[in-house]
Amino acid sequence: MKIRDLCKEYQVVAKRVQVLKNLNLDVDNHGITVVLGHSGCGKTTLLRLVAGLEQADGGTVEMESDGTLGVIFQEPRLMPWLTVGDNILFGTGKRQGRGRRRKENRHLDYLLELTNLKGFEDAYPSQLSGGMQQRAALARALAYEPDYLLMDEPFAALDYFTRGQMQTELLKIHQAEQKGILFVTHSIDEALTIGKTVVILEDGRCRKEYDLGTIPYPRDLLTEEMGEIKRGIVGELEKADERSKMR
Amino acid sequence: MKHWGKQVLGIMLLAAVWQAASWSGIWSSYILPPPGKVAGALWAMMDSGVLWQHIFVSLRRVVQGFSIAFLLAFAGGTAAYELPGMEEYYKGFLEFMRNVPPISLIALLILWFGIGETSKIIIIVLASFFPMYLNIRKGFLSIDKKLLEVGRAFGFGRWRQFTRIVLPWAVPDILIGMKVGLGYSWRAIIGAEMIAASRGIGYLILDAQQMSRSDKVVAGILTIGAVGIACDRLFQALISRMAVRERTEGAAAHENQGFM
Repeated sequence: MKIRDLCKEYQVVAKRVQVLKNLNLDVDNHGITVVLGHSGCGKTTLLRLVAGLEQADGGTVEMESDGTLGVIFQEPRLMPWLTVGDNILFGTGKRQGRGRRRKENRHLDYLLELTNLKGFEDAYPSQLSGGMQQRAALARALAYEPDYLLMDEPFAALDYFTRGQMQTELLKIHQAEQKGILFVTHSIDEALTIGKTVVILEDGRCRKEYDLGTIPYPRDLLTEEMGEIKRGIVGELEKADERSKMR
Repeated sequence: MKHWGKQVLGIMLLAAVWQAASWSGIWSSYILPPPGKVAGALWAMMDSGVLWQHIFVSLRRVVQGFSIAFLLAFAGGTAAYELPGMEEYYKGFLEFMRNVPPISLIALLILWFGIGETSKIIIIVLASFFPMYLNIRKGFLSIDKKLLEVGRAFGFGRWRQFTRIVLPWAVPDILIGMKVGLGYSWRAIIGAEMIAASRGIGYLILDAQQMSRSDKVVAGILTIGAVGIACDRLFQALISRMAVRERTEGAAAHENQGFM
């Protein structure tokens, strides 16, 4: 996926705010590209533009195939009136059916297995924990069989331990599905744990790119190499913070 | 079971006071017909089948008027959601009509449509339209924008957005509106039948009044209450069976506000 010269402006009261300024970014078709930045740097806007939820003021997003997208939001956004199974199938237009009318659906079974939700297909979202709800949202996006997954701080609302588990699960799912993932976060550790490429977004542009493709999963963030990269990223973000105060 | 017991006890106590009052002889049996006499009148009417016929006629009118009102309210609610800009044009008129009791229109309705079924059904439509319209509209407009975005991310068009997200979201509100609307229709038809009718429970009471049969009047009132409660219970049972199984706390909360 190639993002070229993406621009977006918002009108905030009487002021025009340029959120994205000719942003360029290449998203790996099979790897995880993490966009890292302060809140307000335009990460979420970038994702919403790629997802087609908002119109860009300029620029293009090119995808190699027909480019279907699965979006995972910060909140699970499950339909409260549907069971987990039906929520997962929501984008496909199919229903799982109940009791004797249950339809054989191998793909659903596979996704329930993959996201560790086996046995919960008849539960309602309100009966699940936050982590399970987010896994169901992930399964829903995967059921649509997208070419890319767009994830907008999907684990930000979860507690520390659940968050770690979810990152591990995401890596497992990524290993199995090999989809291109565009992942937005403000957590450096999260970016280092899952990112094949880590991009620092600053003031509507990609400021710096780190290639972590050579470091295999699962990663230990306490090694010297990772510590070095982390120091670099922290320094970069601090500089960005300074500059944003100057503006 | 406990609640049932208390309710029955309360009603029995009331009946006892009624019986005691009529025994005391302060009021004549015409002013205050004793319970036994009312029960007798009720039994006689049930036995001869007259009561059932009147109930049937009233209920048939309610079913017809209520169905029409529901279709109109649903169309109106959908329009309010799909064409939000249009609402301003008819908002004032609806606000006006909501404040006019349907019974006050009966003179005009009889003038225009005669004394037949049409004017009574229009009364029911007018009485039950507003609670249904307002609840359906509220259900549609309260849709969580975040859920709509999920549909858009899946490339849903307008039709699928409405049928797969907005409509199921609004089901609790729609059902509440229908329940309230049903109660309103039942009350309105009795009023309409007391002004112009030759059949129905309202007519039964009016006829009894003209015959100076106050026992039949009370029997008619008891019937109205009983049928009203029966309709409400039946609809409530239907609601709890078909829809609202294990919804979120949020949906349950916005259901409760619907009664206001």
